Amino acid sequence: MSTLADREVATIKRQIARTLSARLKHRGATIASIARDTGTSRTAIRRVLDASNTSITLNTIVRTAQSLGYRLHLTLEPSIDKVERIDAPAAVEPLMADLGRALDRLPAR
Amino acid sequence: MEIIVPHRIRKRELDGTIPDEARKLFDKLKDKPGLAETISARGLPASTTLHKVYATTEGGARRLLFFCRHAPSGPGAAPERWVLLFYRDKSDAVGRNMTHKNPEFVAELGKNLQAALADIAASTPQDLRFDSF
Repeated sequence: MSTLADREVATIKRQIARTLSARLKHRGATIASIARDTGTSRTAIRRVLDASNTSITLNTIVRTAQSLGYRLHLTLEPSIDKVERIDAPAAVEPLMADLGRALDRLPAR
Repeated sequence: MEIIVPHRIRKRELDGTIPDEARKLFDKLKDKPGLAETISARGLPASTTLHKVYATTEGGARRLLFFCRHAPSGPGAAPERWVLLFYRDKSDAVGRNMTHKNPEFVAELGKNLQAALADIAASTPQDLRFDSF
């Protein structure tokens, strides 16, 4: 079973591969020409353009994108991974009841 | 759903300010689909639960704990309210084990519940002692 991280990586790589492949075709460029531009191998460029291949370095992706007129922007967003209910320790139950009643007295906002 | 951060909790857990990271996490929590379905009280005071939130941020893994007051149904019902009690790193002594088996967590939980209660109980419409999201 794939993890959330596996699925995210697959989605990101699929998007990059499809965008760059479309650009390559639009420009009439070839894998060999991109390899020459970026100073890397044709095999590495094929891996970048293969939507299912996630074993590729960031360096190769960035260079390939630049060669095709793109810049790669990465944004890191915080995420909520899981929410779970936990049992309340018996010692705090009276406090929880008090806090619940205090919240009920707040006006709706 | 309303997320409430009592001022004393803001001071104890967030050094007095609410960082952008926390604001973004609150937004994501409110947008999380199916959250209400995770809730079922067992052995707790009526309509109140504790919920632990696992989050990942640029600054590292976080563990948040909320006291949740679930909305009674019917006209004029209050909104569901989630009160922040803890905002910790995963590696923190409390953050890594938020269970009743961790004496440090239980002690801190009591203190933070009292702090939250003091702010909520003292709040008036003219003087709200909490931030609301």
